[in-house]
Amino acid sequence: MKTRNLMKPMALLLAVLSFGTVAVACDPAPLYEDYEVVDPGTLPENPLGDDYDPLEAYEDTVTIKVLGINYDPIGNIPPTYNGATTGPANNAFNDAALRYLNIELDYTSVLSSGNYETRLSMLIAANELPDMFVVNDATTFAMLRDNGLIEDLGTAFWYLNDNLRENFFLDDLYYPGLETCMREGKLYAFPSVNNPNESAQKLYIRKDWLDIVGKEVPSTYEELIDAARAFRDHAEEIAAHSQGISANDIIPIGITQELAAQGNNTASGLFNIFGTQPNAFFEENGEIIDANTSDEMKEALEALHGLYEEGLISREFYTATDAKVTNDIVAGKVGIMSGMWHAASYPLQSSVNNAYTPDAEWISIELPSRNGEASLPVVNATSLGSYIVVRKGFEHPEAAAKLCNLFYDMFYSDDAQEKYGSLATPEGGFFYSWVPIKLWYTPYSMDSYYRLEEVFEELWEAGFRIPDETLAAMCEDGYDWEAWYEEVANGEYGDIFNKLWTRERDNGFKYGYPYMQAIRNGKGTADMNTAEKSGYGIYEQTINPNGGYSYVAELSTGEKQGRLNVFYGERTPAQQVYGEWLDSYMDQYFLGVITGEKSLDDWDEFVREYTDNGGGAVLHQVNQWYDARQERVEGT
Amino acid sequence: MTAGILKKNPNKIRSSTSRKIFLVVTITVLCLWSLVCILPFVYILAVSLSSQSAVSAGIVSFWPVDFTLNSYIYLLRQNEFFVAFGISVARVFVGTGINLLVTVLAAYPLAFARRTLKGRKFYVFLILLCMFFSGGTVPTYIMISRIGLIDNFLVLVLPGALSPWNLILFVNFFRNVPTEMLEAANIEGAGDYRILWQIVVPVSLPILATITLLCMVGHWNNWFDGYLYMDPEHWPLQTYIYDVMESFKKLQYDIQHLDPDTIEQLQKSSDMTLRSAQIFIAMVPILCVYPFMQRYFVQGILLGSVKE
Amino acid sequence: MQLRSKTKKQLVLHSMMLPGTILLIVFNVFPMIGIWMAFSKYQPKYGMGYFEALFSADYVGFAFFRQIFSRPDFRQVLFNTIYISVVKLVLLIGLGILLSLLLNEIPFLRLKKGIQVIVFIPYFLSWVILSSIMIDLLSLDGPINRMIEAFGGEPISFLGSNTWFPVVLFVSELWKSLGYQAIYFLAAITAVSPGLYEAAEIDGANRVQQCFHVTLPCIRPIIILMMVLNIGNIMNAGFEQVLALYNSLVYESGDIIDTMSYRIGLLNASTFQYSLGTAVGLFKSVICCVLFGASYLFAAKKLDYEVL
Repeated sequence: MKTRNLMKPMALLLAVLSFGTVAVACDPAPLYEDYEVVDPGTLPENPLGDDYDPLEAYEDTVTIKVLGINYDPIGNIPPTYNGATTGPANNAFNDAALRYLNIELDYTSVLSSGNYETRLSMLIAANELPDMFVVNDATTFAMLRDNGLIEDLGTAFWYLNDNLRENFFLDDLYYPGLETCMREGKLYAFPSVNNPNESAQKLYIRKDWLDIVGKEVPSTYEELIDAARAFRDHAEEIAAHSQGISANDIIPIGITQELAAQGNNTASGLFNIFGTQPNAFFEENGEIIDANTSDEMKEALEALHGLYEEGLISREFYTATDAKVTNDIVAGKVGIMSGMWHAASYPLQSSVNNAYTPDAEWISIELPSRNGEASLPVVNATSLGSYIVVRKGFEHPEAAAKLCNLFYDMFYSDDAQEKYGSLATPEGGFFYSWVPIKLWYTPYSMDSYYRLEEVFEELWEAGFRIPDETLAAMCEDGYDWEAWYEEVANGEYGDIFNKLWTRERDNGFKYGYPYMQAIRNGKGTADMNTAEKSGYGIYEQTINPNGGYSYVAELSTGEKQGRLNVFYGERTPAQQVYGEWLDSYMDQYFLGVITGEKSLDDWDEFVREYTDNGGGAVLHQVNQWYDARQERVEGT
Repeated sequence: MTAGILKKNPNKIRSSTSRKIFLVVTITVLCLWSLVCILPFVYILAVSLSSQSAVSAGIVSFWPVDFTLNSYIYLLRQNEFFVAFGISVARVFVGTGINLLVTVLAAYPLAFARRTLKGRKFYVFLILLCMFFSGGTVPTYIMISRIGLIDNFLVLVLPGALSPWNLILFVNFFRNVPTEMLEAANIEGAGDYRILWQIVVPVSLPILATITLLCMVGHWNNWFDGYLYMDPEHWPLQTYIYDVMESFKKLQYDIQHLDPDTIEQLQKSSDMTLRSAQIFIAMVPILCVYPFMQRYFVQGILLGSVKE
Repeated sequence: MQLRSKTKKQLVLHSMMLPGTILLIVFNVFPMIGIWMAFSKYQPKYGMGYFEALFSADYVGFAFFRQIFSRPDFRQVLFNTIYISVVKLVLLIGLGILLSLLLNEIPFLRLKKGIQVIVFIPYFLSWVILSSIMIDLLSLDGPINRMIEAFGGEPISFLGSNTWFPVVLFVSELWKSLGYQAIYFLAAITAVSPGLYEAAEIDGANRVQQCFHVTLPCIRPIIILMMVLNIGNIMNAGFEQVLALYNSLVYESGDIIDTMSYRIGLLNASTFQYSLGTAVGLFKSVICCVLFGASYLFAAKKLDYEVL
């Protein structure tokens, strides 16, 4: 091609480009539309009456196109079904749906949990929606709703069985989740709500380290830091108790780089001690404030900087991912970590199991008080896991409710085995992760916690002890647990034991009791056998009266207080436009302050910059949202 | 023929001291660089052969600690891994074949019929357009879904079959083929296809081998298209490995309903030794291709002079 | 007769272009209609096909571009992108040539081949896999810092310092891709006729002179080609690499357009992928296209080299 011939297109392109730049620079329109808070309205009346059967089968087979999610690509859990490896498209639930509801589940695609979101967003864009599917984020849900792509489930809602339905009205914890899915009296999804208090942070501390350095279990912030300092100063002795690590490896307090995260291994607990949490919105005197620019945050950052300078948190925590800190915890390098109620099961259970750290023993404490005042964990106003939606135009939206009912019946109910036979057992090919449309029965966790605690206590009081031979046998691979349950159920303590739900035998009793027995007999972790050790997580999270779930339960019943992060639901328009920049700016500055790269002297400048470039707009809209919500709550 | 290179240095015996020093320095530097390049590979191998406790304690460097073959034994039992492996191998062969065929065919008219090919401008425009602009993930997905290629093996080999980058490389190398050879063939009455297969391709072996290698590597390493267009049971190996890592992150956010099954999954997928074994096995086959291809790198000396 | 054979020749040539053209049109050009999303608020709508929804979407002009351009850190991000990729380009091509020249000087064939294979190995490891190894390697008490301390230096926080982070990117990219880059040059060097060296030797040229007067001029075309092609790729500064290594502390020096838009996408989920993502992609394409055009013209006018 001749050079000359290229000049023209090039010139054209440059012209377009410069025109574009000018057009962009001169376009005065705002980047987002005005924010209008739409009234959720109320649900329609129950059209079904009281005597309907939540599991009524259809007369003609209804075929539903769904997406399967293969939760475990490594996959060693599911047994075979019909002679083939089980998977979303081949498991007992599909057959149960056909047999008991006359619903045929047609899997258009089987995805993995990793690529689910990507594929789903493609399917949405291409308008190739399956009949029913699960949406995992609020923004996508809002888009589906606003473009009329999903069906009103107002009537279908009443097809849910009593437990699942009433779940939403139990108390303030769950109703906001349902409300988020409503607009002007229409319900666009069945939300999968979790107990919002489950995100409350506790601190987990290496008890054996405390013993080595001769410190009591801390109850105040000062004592906590004192313990951390002792860990640092006695690193040599501590490291000697584990194989493969040296004094240099000891990290008194383990946190990840993600300051705003609220999961395990995060700095969340430390922030909470100072009454704050990055990216949270708190209510103060009827108005919403942005935690990122509050005075508490400044104070928290100063303290964290102090910890960093003293070498109490890892010098390079800013490169530490969740996986890295988890690994450090398992390897026995970390002394204190902040985590949710289930942190004991993961990652701490792995730490207890680790052969290189035979002494590892963790104790959990509530957030220590500071300056004589109790520290409140930050909890969310509502916790929405995902949304079950039905494609617009699908004839049987109520089938979603029926599937949820069936799952509930097979998974939770105690007579599931009598009713469904082997279809409801793992050996028979039933695996909960593969059920495409399901609602968890949220109060179960709490009920189950109370039940397990009570049954364990009763069994102990009544004198139930597992003999040593049985304990030894439990360490073997392929121990027949079913036979053992059978034996206990038919034995002297059967009456008490049978109060447990079937699935609680596997989830609680199996390891929990051996561990509890070991603890009460005064055994330390170092002396326990593998079967006993395996119970640490279960015991700590669901059975221990001072453990993980008891904390959640106390927060839920109001015995304990948390600090409420009030904002929830879909992101406001300003958040969608500015959110990412605000996040990264906040992250940069906060990390900079903690490591000493940036100074708190610039705090005011940070606040100004943050507010001017979107933070102010976001806060304004969150206030708008909150006012509308308050009005509604007071109106009813 | 390897003699070409050696011939350049027929008076090795008489080589001067300065050259000796130069050689020693060069070889030392290159060997050190090679060492740096191979260390991670050794590290991954060592990790895959060590116990999990040793790995998380961070004491494994370049030699296995608590030697164990468990990860490999576990992997060998994994059906999914081998299915994915097979798909990757198939993809490399079919995909590279299609790549080469399409690219060589298109490069020939662009290189040898610069003046005569009508509509050459259109083709060049098309190629450059596709080199720089793309419709984006969503429109491409919609197109592929409309022609029914979702979860179809062809989607791994067709969309990227003609890479403008490779095409331009081919065109540039083809232009160096001495025109006399072509003219001679032309006079003998050979058609274009025959000239392409019997003259151009044989003298372009080095670039063919190079592009073949790069295409193979490209296909072997590409995880994204599998992730986007294929269902897990038909994933190529790299997609599978990538997903194991991604799902692990997702699992952690999904532990509201934690029970022993989930915990076991978490523990399994955070297992570095297993991961390393996967990575190691996944690297070996494509590495074996290189030496094989290398033979052809040196054989192109037949080509004669390279023209400016 | 003459005419018919000419038409036939044209037909043959076009038939060679046909498969590639079809593939490009189907998988690349056709989806480009979706670029319209960058200027409109595309959302799938109930009861509408893709095209209907696309063209009935509200036209928003350059709003999505403004959303990106009006970020306070946009200039920094754009600068980082170009800076990182220019330095990488220069280093990779410069050292790539050096590596291939040095390899060519080694008289021991086996050694040469071995090194060639080994320096290629790192190319197989994806950044996702390398990230944890690299972070360990570069940590304050990692092996590199231990070495620095052994020589009496202060340990450097490579991944937390805005001065050092780009250096880490450059060096790790070199380590990973140098062997890959050198393959192109090796292919060109092996294509150099031995006759030219012999002629030079007869003229009394020593090795260094041979290198400058024979080898380099002979591979000049491929060097120019690589330059031009890579300049057309300049907005891609290595997404996976940066993502694997960076953290918020080094956004200032390491955040590039792709990582920025990745984070926006994470927060805004699927809605991002439609309009905003397309706008970012289009912006990158236009810049690349202009730069490529400029270098194409430069090569054609000043260096007398036509890329296509």
